[in-house]
Amino acid sequence: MTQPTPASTPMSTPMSTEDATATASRVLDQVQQAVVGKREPLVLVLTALLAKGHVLIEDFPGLGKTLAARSFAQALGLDFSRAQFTPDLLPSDLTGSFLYDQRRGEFEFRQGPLFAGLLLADEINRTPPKTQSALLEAMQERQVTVEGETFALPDPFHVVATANPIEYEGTYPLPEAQLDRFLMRVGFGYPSLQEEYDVLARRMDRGREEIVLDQVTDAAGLRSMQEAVETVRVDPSVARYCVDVAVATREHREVLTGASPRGSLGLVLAARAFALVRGRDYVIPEDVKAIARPVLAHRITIKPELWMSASSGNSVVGDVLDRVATPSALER
Amino acid sequence: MADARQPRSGSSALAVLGVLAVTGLLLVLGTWAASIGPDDVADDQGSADVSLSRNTDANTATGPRAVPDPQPRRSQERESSGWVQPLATVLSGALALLVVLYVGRRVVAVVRRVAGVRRNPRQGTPPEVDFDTLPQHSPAVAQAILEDASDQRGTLAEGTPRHAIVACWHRFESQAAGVGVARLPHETSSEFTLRLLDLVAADRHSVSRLAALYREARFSDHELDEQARDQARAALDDLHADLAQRWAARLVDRAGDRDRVR
Repeated sequence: MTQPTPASTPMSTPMSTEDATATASRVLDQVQQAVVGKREPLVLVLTALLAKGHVLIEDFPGLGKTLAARSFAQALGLDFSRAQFTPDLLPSDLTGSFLYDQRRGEFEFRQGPLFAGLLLADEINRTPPKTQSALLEAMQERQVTVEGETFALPDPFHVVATANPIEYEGTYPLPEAQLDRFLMRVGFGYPSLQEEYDVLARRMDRGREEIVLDQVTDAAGLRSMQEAVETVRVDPSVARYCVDVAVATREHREVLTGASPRGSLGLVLAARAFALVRGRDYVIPEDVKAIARPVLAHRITIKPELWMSASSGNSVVGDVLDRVATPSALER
Repeated sequence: MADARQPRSGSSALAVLGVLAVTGLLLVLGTWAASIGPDDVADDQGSADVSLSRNTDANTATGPRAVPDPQPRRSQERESSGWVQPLATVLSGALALLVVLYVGRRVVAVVRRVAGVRRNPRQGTPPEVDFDTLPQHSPAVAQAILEDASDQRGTLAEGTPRHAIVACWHRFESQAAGVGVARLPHETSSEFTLRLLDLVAADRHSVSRLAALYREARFSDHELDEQARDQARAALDDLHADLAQRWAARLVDRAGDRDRVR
C-alpha cells in the first residue's frame, strides 16, 4: 500500500485574532448577499469550518442549504464540488477510479468529487450505507484508498452535507455512529416575511439565477484562520464545563445513548472557533452554551419509548444546559 | 380574552360534574344489583317458583328422572351470602358519600371562582399603567449594591488588576445573593447580568463593560494592567451613580416606611 502523500501545503502561520475575526465577518457578509438573513446558522457553519469540522445541514427543501454551501466555497476561495447522493451512487463515483489510458498504455487515477476543498454532499441520506461510509471514512481520515493506493485529500477539506427531515421513504438515515463524524448539525428554518420578500427583490434586481460572490480569502487564508483557532485559550474550568455537559447528556433520564467523548472534544473545538468569530482569543462559558445544541443534539439517541413524545436531542441539551453548573467566579 | 374563557371553563366544570354524578349513580346501582342477585333485581317478591323450563320425563328404561328441588339450593345461597349484603350496602354508602363530598367541593370551588370573577373581573392580571414597572426584588437589590458601593470600590483597589476585577465581580454577585437574587449555578455571567439588569433597571452599558472585564480577567491569559483596573473602576462608578439617581426617591420612601413601622 502506498503511503499517503503528505499534505502539499506546509503548516500555515496563524492569523492574528483581529484579522481572523475581520475576515470571518467579511465572509459572512458575502454569504449573506446570497443567503438572506440567517446570520446565526451561517455563523455556526463558518464556526464548524474554522474548527476543521464538517457540517450537516438538515432542513426542509428550498431553504438555501445548497446555496449556503456554494456561497461559502466562493467566499472562502475553495474548490467546490457537488455530489448528488442517489440510491445508485457507488463509492468509486465519489473517490474516483483508475481508468486505462490507451495512448500511454497504463492506468491513471481520475479523481472523484471528494478531491475538493468543499464538497457538497447533497441529500446524503438518499444513498445506501456503502457509499455513505466511503464518504464518512474520507471525512475522518482525510484520505482515500483506491485499489490499494492511498491519496491524500486537499487541505483544507470540508464536507457540507444536506439531509431532508421529511420524505423518509427510500432513504437510508445515517446511524448515530456516523452522525458523530459531523461536528455540527444545523437547521436554517424558514425566513421571516421581510427576508422572504428580500429574496424575491434581490433575484429581480439581479436579473439572473446564479449569484457570483467576491472571494474574501483562499485555501491558505482559511488554513491560517484555522491555525488562529488553535491559539484560542480554553480555561481548564471551561474545558471541565464542556466535559460536564457531555457527561450529563449520557446520564439524562430520556437518553439511550448520550454524547461520546468526541462530543465533548467537538464542544471545545467549536467553542474556540466561535470565540474567534466573536472577536476573542479566549473561550467563555457563553460560547459553549451557544454552540452546545448544534454540536451535541445529533449525537444523542432518545429512548425508544419516548420517540412519540416531544423529547429530542435539542430538548435534552437544553435541559442539560439548564442544570449543569457553569464555572464559578472565584475558581482561578 | 380572559373574560371570554370564563363561561367555557364553567360549562366544562358542569360537564365534568355531570359525568361524575352519572358514574357514581351507575356504580351504586351496580353494587346493589350484584349484592342481591339477578332474580331479586327483576322481581324481589321471589320468582323461585317460576321455572322457564318444563321438566320432562325421560323415555328410558330407568323411568322418570328425579329432578332436584331448586328451593334448597337458593336458601343455601341466601344463607352463605348473608354477610355480603351488609358489606355491599356499607361500601355503596361510602362510595355515594365520597361522590357527594367531591361533587360538593367542586360546586363550592366553581361558585367561589365565578363569584370572584364577578367581583373583580381583572383579578390575577396586573393592573395596566402608562409607565414602566419594576420587578419585585429590585429595591432590595439596588439598596444592597448602593450600601456596599464603597467596600466594592475598595475591593477593586486591592491586589493585581486581574484578581481585583474578579473579586469585584464576585462581590457584585454576593450582594445580589444576600437579598435573594443569587446567580443560579447554571447561569453564565452574561445571563446573570441580564437578569440583574432587569431587576434594578441598571445602566446596561456600564454593567456590560464590567462583565466583559470580568470575563477577560477570569477566562483569558491576557496581561491585565492598571488601565483595566481603571476601566473597571469607571464602569463601577457609573453603575453606582446611575443606580443612586434612579433609585434615590424609592429608597428614601422605603427607609421612611421602615421608620414608621418601628
